[in-house]
Amino acid sequence: MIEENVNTIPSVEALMERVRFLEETNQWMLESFEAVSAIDDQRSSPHSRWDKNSIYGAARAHLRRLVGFEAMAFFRPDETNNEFILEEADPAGERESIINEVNQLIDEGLFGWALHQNRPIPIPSRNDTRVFVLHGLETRRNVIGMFVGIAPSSESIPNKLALNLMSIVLFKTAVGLEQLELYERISNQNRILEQKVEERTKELMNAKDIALRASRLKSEFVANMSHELRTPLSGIIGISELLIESQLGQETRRYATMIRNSGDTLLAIINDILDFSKIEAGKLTIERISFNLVQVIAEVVAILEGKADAKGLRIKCEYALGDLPNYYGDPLRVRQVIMNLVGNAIKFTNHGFITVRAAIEEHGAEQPVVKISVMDTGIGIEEEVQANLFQSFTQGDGSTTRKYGGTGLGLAISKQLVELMGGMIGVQSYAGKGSTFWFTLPLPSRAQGQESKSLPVNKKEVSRSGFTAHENSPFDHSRGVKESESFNNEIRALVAEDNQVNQEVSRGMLTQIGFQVTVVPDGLRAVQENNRSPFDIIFMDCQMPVMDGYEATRQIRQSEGPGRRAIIIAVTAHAFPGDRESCIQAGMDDYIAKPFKQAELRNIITRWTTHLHDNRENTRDDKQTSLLPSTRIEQIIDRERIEEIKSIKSHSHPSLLGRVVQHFQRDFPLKIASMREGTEHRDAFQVRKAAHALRGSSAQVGAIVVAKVCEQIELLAIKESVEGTGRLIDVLEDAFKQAVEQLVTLVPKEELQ
Amino acid sequence: MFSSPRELLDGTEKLSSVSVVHERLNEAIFSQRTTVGQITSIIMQDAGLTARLLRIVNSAYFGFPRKIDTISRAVMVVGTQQLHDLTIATSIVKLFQRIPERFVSMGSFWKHSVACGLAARVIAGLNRESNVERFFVGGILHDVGRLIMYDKIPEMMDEAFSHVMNHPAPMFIAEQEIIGFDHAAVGAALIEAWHLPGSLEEIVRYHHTPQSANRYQREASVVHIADVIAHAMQCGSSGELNVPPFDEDAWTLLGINPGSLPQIVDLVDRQLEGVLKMFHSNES
Repeated sequence: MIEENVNTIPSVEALMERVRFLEETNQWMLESFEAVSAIDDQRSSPHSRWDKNSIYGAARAHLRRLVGFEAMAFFRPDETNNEFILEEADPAGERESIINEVNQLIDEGLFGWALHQNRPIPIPSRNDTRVFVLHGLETRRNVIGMFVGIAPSSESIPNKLALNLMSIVLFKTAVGLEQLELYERISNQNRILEQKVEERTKELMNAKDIALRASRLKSEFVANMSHELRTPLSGIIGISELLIESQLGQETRRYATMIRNSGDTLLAIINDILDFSKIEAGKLTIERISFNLVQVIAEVVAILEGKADAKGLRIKCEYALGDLPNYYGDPLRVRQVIMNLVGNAIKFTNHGFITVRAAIEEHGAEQPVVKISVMDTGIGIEEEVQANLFQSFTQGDGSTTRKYGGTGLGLAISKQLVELMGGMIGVQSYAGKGSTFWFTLPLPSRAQGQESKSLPVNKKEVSRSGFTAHENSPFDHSRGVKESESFNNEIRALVAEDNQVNQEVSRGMLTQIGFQVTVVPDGLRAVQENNRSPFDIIFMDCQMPVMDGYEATRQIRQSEGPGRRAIIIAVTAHAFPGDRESCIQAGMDDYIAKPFKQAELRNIITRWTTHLHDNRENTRDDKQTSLLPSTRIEQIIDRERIEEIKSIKSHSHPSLLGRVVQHFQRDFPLKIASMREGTEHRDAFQVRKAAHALRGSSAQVGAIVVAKVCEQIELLAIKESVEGTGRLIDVLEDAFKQAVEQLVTLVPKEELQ
Repeated sequence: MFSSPRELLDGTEKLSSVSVVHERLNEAIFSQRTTVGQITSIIMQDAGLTARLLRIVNSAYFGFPRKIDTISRAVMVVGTQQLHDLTIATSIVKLFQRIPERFVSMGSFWKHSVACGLAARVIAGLNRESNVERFFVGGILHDVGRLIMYDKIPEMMDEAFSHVMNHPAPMFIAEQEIIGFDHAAVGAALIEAWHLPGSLEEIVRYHHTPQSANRYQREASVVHIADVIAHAMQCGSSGELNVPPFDEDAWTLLGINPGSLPQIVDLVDRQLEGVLKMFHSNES
């Protein structure tokens, strides 16, 4: 037992000593704490490097201040085998001896034991007087490593305070190393991610290129398909039409009709499919031109009336469009949709009637729309079926396809078209009670309407006299459609077409119309033939071997002079709207889509041959195209004038008309001679005098053409010019001959001597 | 009638020896000037203490791979603070060897206390506390107040016990109601009287109510949980009839992984016998 007098009062010296001691300790503590808390500041400075070496360096600096170690080392565990490796030793010369000692400690198990003590463990060396102070470097999560500090002897082991501060420094060091590692790992991850992103992007770009290429191939395929499918089909339809028109027995004619009908049906299906695939590929564009909605509806009704009649159905039309003059949109597509709806109505109605209604609807603040509805008294549609109606490839239920025919694409296409035009489509129906299919189209303001500057698209144009669907196209069709069926067979037509059957079709149709037809199999031959002897009208297939239609047209246009211009009609499978631009750019005037019917061919020819007639006249005498009057040929003699003269019956002049005519006849050559003389001698006055006189006398007799020509000669002469007079005199003589021919028939025989 | 825990302590002449050693050591350790040699010589003045310490540092309790022959080596390896704490633990245990066994046998009492100490040490180790011996000491001493009360006021403790039998409650509540203060307060008063470190005082005072601790809430929470574990393991008894209430906030504060419980229980189990022998051996 300890025996001690606890009541001893310490001496003043002892107390003073204690005070001094406490003050020193206090001072030391303040300095140490300050130093230790400053560790983080060093590390977070942006000017200092942040890596392992700087962390170790900072740790060493602090530790040296706290404890007078003669050497310090940091051990880190190897990731693969968890063995501790000396990472840093200071001074470097001590590395060997430190490693030796530590290996011994590891063998003994002391190293492992010390690692988790979380405090400095001084271990005297077996080999000499030095003391190895071990301290684990640990964070909450990880064992970062081991610090080894070497003190020269046991006496130099620091006291408890210093040792505790040492723990703080080493803990912070461990945390700092952990942070550094995590940061490096994150940076690495980022780098790897960036690399991956780059690789992925490259892959995606490649994939995109491949996809684009595939898409392009697909489009080209569709375009080719369009051509490949339509070409033989146009052969089938065309030849069958020729057959029907030719001399056939009743039975053969029936067969030919069936072939043509099948061809028509097949064409309709192909068009549906191609339309559908175009819509799917996003390649369908909607036009914006002005057209008459009522007319479009009327057309459709007219086309389908026959089918309706055959089933005993009536079609009624109702309009409530106010004073809507024209609608701006795509007449082709609108017609397509109405055709589809009315066609379906007829298909699925067995008795009663079909009502087509077009009305403007306004619902308050919303934009007004045009609503077109097709109501029928047909079989109706069940509610469950209605949901799927507008999806592709369904037609109510599968059995209806077999019973009623059709691809089932119609409504799907109609829906797409309506939506592309900015409208909505829908149905109201009750099974057994009929259906109402409707669609709306937005009413754009006038300002939005743009005129289409492209060629007119007439796949299914109806030949109704007086009807023109495209009023503002660049080609002037104001002359309207001529009713006459036969054309001047002076018109020379060239057909450039590589398919033999189609050659036959075109040759047959055009010959029937009355043209002189030449056929060539490719564009090069077309150019060559036209160069040899220019044609009036050329039907140019767009796709041909050796040289296609576009290139041939370009070359032909280049070789043409200012006056002469052949009419070039493109014959195209019309796959894409881009075709139009190509045709225009190449220099074509119009186009017709194959397969075409005779009626369509006639229409387009009629449209252009009135041009031709004028051209013919105008180019007979090149230089006077502008000067000739554009009067009708029939009006060579003014009948009224003749009647007037006839009515002047006087005693002194019983046969006035005869005398007037005779005078005219005799006078004429004299005047002609005078004019010619004047022209030779460049005597404008002489020419003028003669022309003026002749004008009067020909007007007297009602020879209008003669009078007009004289007037022109007179006008020239007034300008003191005799240029071109010679020609005019030739014309005059021709006109005179014609006038006399007519006059002779008009004057009663007894009045002529 | 005792109006305060302090009053209970008066007359305990056994106080002085413990405090003398402790104070000397404390000062020596605290001083920067003191060398290991000086600390060693202070301890070695008490042969019994020396022997006990050497036994402890060479035991599985410590797990040091090398044999530690001398106190100076022990001081270096174990650490001066830690050694100091162990000194306190052994001294106090020795102090209370013989107490009337009316309420509890000494063997049973120290078994519970050592189990609590070991559990507290393990928990502290898992939480990477730097001085795990402090927790060991705290754990051993947490119920020491009871010993004094059993010695000085046995009748009142009887009453408290009967009360608890009929109205189930923790003993410390009954003590407060019947006596006016509980064993935690008494134990804390003893620690205070001995000038032992403040953390020990708060550990003992707040081992049932760790949330009320001031500076040493973590320490009090650790020993609180260790106490509950020791009760649940039924390692001895300190005279408590029921398992005392468990404060969940203490658990949350320490952030202990529930998966560690098996490890804690296992370590206590393995070390309990050996450590009991070391601390509780009968000599002198």
